[in-house]
Amino acid sequence: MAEPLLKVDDLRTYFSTEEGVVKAVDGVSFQVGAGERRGVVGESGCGKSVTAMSIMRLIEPPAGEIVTGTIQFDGRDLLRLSEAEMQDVRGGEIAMIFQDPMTALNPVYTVGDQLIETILLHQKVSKSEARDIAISALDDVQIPYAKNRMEDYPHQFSGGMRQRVMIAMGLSCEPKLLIADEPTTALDVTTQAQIMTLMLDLAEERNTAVLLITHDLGVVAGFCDTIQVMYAGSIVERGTGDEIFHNPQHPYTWGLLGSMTRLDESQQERLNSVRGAPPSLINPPKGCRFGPRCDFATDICREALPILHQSQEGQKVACHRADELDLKHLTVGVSS
Amino acid sequence: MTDTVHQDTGSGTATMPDDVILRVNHLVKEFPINRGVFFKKQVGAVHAVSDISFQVKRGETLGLVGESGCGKSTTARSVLRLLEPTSGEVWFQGQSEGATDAPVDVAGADREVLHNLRKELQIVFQDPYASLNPRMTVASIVAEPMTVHDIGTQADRLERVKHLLQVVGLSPEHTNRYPHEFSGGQRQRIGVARALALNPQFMVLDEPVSALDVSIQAQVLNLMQDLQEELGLTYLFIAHDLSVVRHISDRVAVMYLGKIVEMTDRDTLYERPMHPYTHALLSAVPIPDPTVEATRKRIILEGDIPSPSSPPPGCRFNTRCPKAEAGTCDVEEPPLTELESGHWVACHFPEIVQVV
Amino acid sequence: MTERGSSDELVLDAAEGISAEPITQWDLFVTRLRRHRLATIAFFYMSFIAYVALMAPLFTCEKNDTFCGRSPVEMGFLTTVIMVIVAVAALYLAYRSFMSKLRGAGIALGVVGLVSVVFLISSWGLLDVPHINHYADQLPDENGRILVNIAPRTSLPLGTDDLGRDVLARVIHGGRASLAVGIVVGALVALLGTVVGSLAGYYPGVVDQSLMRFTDLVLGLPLLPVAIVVGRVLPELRFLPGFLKQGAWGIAVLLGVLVWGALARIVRAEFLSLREKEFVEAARAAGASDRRIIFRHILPNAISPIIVQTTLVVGTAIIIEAALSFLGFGVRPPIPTWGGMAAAGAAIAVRGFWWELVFSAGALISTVLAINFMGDGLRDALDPTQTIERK
Repeated sequence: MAEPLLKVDDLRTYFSTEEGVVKAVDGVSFQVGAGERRGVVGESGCGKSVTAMSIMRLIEPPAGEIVTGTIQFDGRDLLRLSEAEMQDVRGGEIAMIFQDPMTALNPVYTVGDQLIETILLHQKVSKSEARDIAISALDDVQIPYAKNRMEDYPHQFSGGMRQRVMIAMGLSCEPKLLIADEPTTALDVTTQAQIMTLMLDLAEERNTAVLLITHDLGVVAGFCDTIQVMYAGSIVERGTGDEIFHNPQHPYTWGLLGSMTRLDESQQERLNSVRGAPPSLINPPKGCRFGPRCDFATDICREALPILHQSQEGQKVACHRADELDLKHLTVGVSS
Repeated sequence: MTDTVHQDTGSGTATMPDDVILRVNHLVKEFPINRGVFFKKQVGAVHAVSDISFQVKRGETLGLVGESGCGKSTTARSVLRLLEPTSGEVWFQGQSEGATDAPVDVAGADREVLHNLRKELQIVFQDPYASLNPRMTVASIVAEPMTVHDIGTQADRLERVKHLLQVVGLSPEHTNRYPHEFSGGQRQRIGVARALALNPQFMVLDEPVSALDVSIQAQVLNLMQDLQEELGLTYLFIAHDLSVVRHISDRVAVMYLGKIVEMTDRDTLYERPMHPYTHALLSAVPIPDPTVEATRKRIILEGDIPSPSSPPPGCRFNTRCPKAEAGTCDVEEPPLTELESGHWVACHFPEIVQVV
Repeated sequence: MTERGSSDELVLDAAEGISAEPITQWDLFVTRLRRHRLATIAFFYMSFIAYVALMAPLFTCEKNDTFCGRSPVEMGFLTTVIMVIVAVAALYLAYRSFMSKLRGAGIALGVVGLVSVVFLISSWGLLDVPHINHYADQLPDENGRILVNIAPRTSLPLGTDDLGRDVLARVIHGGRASLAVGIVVGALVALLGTVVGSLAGYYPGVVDQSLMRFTDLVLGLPLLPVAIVVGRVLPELRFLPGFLKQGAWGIAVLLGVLVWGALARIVRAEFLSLREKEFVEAARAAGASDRRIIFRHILPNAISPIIVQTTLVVGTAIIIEAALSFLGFGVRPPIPTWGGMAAAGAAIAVRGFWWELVFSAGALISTVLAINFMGDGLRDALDPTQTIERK
């Protein structure tokens, strides 16, 4: 296999708070190939967003700090770049779109101005060329009357349209990697469908790698080639969409899937929920972080932290008992 | 049964079948847009809820779904009269000691009647962080409805609070804690305990799980189902998540821009939807299964939802509807009619499409 | 109803790290306030200034009296009662502090309490302790000449003014005007601002609009000119009770009724946002009355801006009172005020006698700064976004 586009190795990002040190990301390693669409799934506080912010080096000291790890992107370690070099990477080779497009756009400049500014920052083009690129970028994200709407201010766009603008801005410099942090969480479901379809088309067409961060397993299912599930600061399972959804090896992934209500199932019984709540990241439980909530935990789970390893089924999983458990054949309702 | 909904047009009193607990007739809620203060001039109105009628049967869960701004939360609040309805009736027919009481119009009730009705009609809110007073202890939060209605002594109330906390799956020792010490899921349970305090018959659940993580969502949904079974509660379940609604509801009503566009029992809605908006909505919901997703066809709607302060003429969905025909849909408003038994649709060109 | 087994909830609690002891709002408040160094120091400094100003009559000799200290009869019944309460409260709080292992605060409060008791006993003539000179005494030397403009020295730590009066005694006594203004303005502002703001915020429409237009009117009055004019007229008004005509009380009341506008606006804004909160809706859904919603749900959540804003207004009011006295429209001589002393001190400072100006102005500035720091500290300590969120 060729050198991956992004290679994160043993990333640890900690935040110091009044109560103690929050180990938001604690030993995360993964690779994303060129053109690959990777989903990062997990519940709030699992460290998925902090992972993205760390890659963009947007962790603000002194509260937050990348303690150890390397982030190889296209042959360079991003953590060793100067701030000036990093600014070229941000928005140039790696673009990021956020959950709330309103706060990411400056309300006192027109959308056109902001697009042109981004383009001028990263490409050696004249102002009029930048303008043309901006208009075609808006066209690409299917904003009607792109030329006229360049003069509009962010508040004149609807939520869905603003997110399109953000995508246009992100893709205008033809990045190799697009990080999308909960891009549709603030949107209605019909708008979400519009945006996700658009992102899929654009990413496929341009062979852009995407890191899609979301809590919604449904969104990931239709979009991503590979998925990694995060829990309490580390990756608990990684595999293809098929592996994760049809043959989960980690009890957390399995529980998460059991917790989901499905549109295409007329199921009225109780959901197979995961009991309890995620642990504190200041004093995580000893052994497996998921141990206290896991129905299959044994002594070893309470003692040793499981590492991510190849399971017999093909995907990587961080569970001591992955190979002996047959989660696929456990029916709903076994755990209460 | 359901066909009576639209016949009864505000005669002042109502006769309702015993199995119906709530009937909403021609409910309208508009928020005036005013200019000036001492010399008020109404320059327009936000038509949040425009003449909707439905009924809820005793012990069932009616799901009310729609996207943001469709008026589903306004409907819920108007039903409970947390907002004053502009017009319309909300008949509540409770039961006491096994017998069915005479229906009462919540929308027209005077202060005292309304105060007593509050015991029967309760609500669980969406945001577990905003719905609990941060300056009150769990005990006083859960006991508040009893305090307000002057039920029992302080000791009785504390006893009941402890019981209620256990009922919703929390430790009864936590009575003197403050909300900030609890996680989102736990807070939502506290909110449920408060709603249960007066033994209500009817509960509005206003997006009770949308602010929660998936695994916590499932816990709360299970709890709501268990409570319904044990206490014989009736739910009006407001949500934007169609898969959650399918899981919990017996019947579902779909709202768009202040109108109910389709209403039927759960499986019919998901398996044989007739309104083009329902089609689009259902096709847009992602399914957590890559194999299914790979073969699904999305109906992508054009444009955005129009402003409720100037809804389009004719069918409110005509501006985005793939089937809209000029001269019909943008002129004449389609009435909500019963096309099959118990299947109500408001569309000029209804058609069964299997989307899911 | 079935009681759901709390076994999994116990796991949940453990995972959540809910502590064994409940954390009360007060605990959070104190912890946060203490973390704010400057505010803590300011708080102690203010307590000291307030204590000294309040007890000033107890520490100073009666004019031309051979025996220092004044009997309860001379001090007035009310003053004596307040002083006894302060002394007892200090001792009780010292005891409580020791019990909760706050040794520093315990010792400080203990000393304060004992000093108060000693001087109280002395005022009955049962004990002779050294006192500070009376603020109006013109101090003579051995030859009977008045000690005018004496620079600070051991026996007179802050020197004397141009009439030979002890500056230390006058600075201490001058704090009483500022203290009176602080208490009265604080109380009036908190009361008027909260009542007007609450009503305006809770009842939209005519009530809101009338009250807010009235507030705008009051806010629009030019403070200093109005205060000068009214302050000038106050002593001439026959129907006013005596205590409002002289001393700081009249000025304090006057300032109080002039400066509540800003707080009213803040409280109104708080009410407008809080009344839309879901917990208020929940109370309404439970059938709670307007009164209960206002007093039980909205006000407690609006209390932080009320306290913070009141604190800041008190600081401003003390400055304004000083300015009035400086200009000669405030408290009448010979009663000392920091503003009045600064005016007199400024006149002699040009001749090199700097101490009266420096010490009076210093007391004023440090007090107002301390109040503002306290306001900052309270703002942080009471910020609900900090106390509610767990993240």
